[in-house]
Amino acid sequence: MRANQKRLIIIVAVLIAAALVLIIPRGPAPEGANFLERVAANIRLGLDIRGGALLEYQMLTDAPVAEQADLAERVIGVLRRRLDAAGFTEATVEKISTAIEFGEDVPNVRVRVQIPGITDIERAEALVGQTGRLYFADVLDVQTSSAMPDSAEITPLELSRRRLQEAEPYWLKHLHFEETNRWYYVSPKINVANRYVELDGSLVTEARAQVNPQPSPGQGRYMVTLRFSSEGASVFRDVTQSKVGYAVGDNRKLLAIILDDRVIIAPVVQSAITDGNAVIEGLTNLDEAREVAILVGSGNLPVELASFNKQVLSPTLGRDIINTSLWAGLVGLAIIMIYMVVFYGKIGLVADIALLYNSLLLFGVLSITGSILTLPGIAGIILTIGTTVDGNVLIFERMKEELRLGKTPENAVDGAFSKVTWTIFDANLTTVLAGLVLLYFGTGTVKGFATTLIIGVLGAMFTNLVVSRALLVGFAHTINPRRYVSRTVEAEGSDG
Amino acid sequence: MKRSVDFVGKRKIFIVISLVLIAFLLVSIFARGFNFGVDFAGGVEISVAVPDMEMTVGDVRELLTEVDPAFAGARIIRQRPLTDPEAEQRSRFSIVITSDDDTLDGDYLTDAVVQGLEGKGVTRDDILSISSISGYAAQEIRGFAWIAVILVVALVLMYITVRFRFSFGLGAIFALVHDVVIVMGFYSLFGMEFNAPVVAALLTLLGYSLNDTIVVFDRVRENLKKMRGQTIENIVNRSINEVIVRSLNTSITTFSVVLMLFIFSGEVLRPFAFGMLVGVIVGTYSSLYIAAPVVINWMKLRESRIQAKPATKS
Repeated sequence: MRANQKRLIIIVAVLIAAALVLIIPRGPAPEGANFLERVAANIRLGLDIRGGALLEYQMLTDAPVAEQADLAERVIGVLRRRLDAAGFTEATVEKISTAIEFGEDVPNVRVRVQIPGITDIERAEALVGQTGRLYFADVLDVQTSSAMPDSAEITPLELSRRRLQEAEPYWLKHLHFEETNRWYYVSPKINVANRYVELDGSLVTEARAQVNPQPSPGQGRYMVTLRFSSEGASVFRDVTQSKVGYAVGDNRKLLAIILDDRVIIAPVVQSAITDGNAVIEGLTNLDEAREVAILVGSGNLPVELASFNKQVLSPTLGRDIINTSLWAGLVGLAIIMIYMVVFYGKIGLVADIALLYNSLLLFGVLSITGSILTLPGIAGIILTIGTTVDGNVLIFERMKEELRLGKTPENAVDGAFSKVTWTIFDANLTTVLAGLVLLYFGTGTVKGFATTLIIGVLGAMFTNLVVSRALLVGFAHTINPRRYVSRTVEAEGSDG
Repeated sequence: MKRSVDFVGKRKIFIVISLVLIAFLLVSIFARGFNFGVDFAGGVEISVAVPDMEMTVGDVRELLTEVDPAFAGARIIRQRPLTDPEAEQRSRFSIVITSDDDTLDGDYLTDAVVQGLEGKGVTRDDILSISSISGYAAQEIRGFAWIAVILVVALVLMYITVRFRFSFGLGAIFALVHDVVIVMGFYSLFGMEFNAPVVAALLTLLGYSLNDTIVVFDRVRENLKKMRGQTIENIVNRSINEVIVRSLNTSITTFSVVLMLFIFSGEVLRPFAFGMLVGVIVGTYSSLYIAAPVVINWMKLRESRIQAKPATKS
């Protein structure tokens, strides 16, 4: 009995701890949330349940694997700044490294961006996905068209000159191509008095979106201020001095700022800038100004990125998934609880309590460890229900055998546990082994499954060996051995 | 005394049944192949809600093919409408294009879907989900699946050899291979989607089948000590009889939760639940009729060798 008191204390302590973890709010609960929603807020839900966008990129680089991790960290830094500045504060950026190589072509260091709650990923992708080289360029022609224009207004002499300078012009779309369909014929080198210079985006040290205190009449009220490094300032001075000389309306007066294969903005150069502090005026809304500032200012990515995989799920679909899996879980739980009572009578209730206990424990551990509950994770939880019942069935069947040998109920419980402990241990440990393999090698959502499976199976072992035992020892005196013996014979007779 | 069923006596019949089933399913696997999900094959999957409840798969395909001929070969499935009581009823379609063509990226296809269904009142907000998986990601998932399964099998063989004996491990592995082949065969036979969560299902089913096998072996180990001198057939048969109620109860309860998952869960978890559903039945069966007979035959083989040795000496 002494041992059982100890067990009871542990059980109650664990129960209270698990309940407290779930009840005490950590972080802001949603407005007007009911009790269940508050509890749910303590569990981190994966994007495949909450809705949101998952963007995973591989780095296009020849750098040795040893340096890739470092490279990825730098990429993450840049992306982090961009996303924060754009207001995606809930977004997470992380490095993914696979434990083993799956083939020469599969990159094993990648960068994953997760943005909860958004479905319009075009904006997010413009920030993250358009991630190559940032540079300034000459504009030779501008046209509006839904497809790439066929011909450009350029003299053969100009074209051959640019070719000689390895600055052959090409057509690029404006970043917000859906709005404008505007195409720019740009050359990556800028003509400064017949010298062709490069102006790289990394020379910009700072870019800010601001409200223009003195907007020109008829123009937008927002602006972006740029600051160049000392090296950049001198190149920028030459460029602006040269561009200022062209007539108003000449395309060559434009200076395009290009990220990858999209023109972010192509302002007209109004005056020569000698101190390295430029202003892009006339932006009509703050969002646009902010985006330009972020893209230009948060620094170049040290490496080009290519989409590895991309998943977007609307919150509507997420809610549907939660509802249906909740139903699956509850109905499944109810069926099992009824089945156990029908088959085992009063001691079936012990299994029912164990089931509820382990469910609470599982959610408590999920919450306190900050594990992310994914959709396959829900499947893992539902399987855990099976494992918990299995342990109890093993115990009950052993107990019946012990009772059949003529033992008293108290001795039968002890006898059953001394034999069944290692069975439960062996049987569940193999499941944990499978779970660990998944956790180590698995990607994304499959990891979520492994997490709940491992937590659930370990919880099931605790529940079976400690909780069920305490309950059975406590209720042993109410068990009528002869009744269970006769029931067993009946049950097995009908099976055979 | 309690009645005892002769499980091991007819083991040859069941092994033949299993072999025939496996042969049949292997034919299906090689002839029909698998219905791989985008995460296995690479490609783009788009789920879209359409306000028109009368739309058929044919209508959707026709409208989309007008925008881009690539949709002619797309897999289009009509899905269960969302259970959102607040929203109006809308039909839901999943459009899957598996292709190595890089120009068919997620953004382009999403725009094409919206454009094609514009006339039916579909806007960008009706796109419920987009998954776009590059060929490399798919290659990684496939690689992972094999390594995971092989590793689990190897670990299990080691664990059982250490905790029990080698012949038990061998029996367990035969049962596992039997289960995996049969369940995969059923995916092929029913054209059920084979995606990354299915790998998780296969591994869980390995765990489940093993759990069952180990409970049987645990009892065999116990009875080997108790019933010294008896034939291995008797010992195994007795052991199975002792644990059969537990095996059935566990299978019935697990089956019922997985069945609920299969019925209630949406398209995303259904392939997972399908595998578990088949797996629970096959896993229980294989513990009794595959794992145990392998142990019996292996031990008899060794016994006869031991007996044969002195005979060759004399």
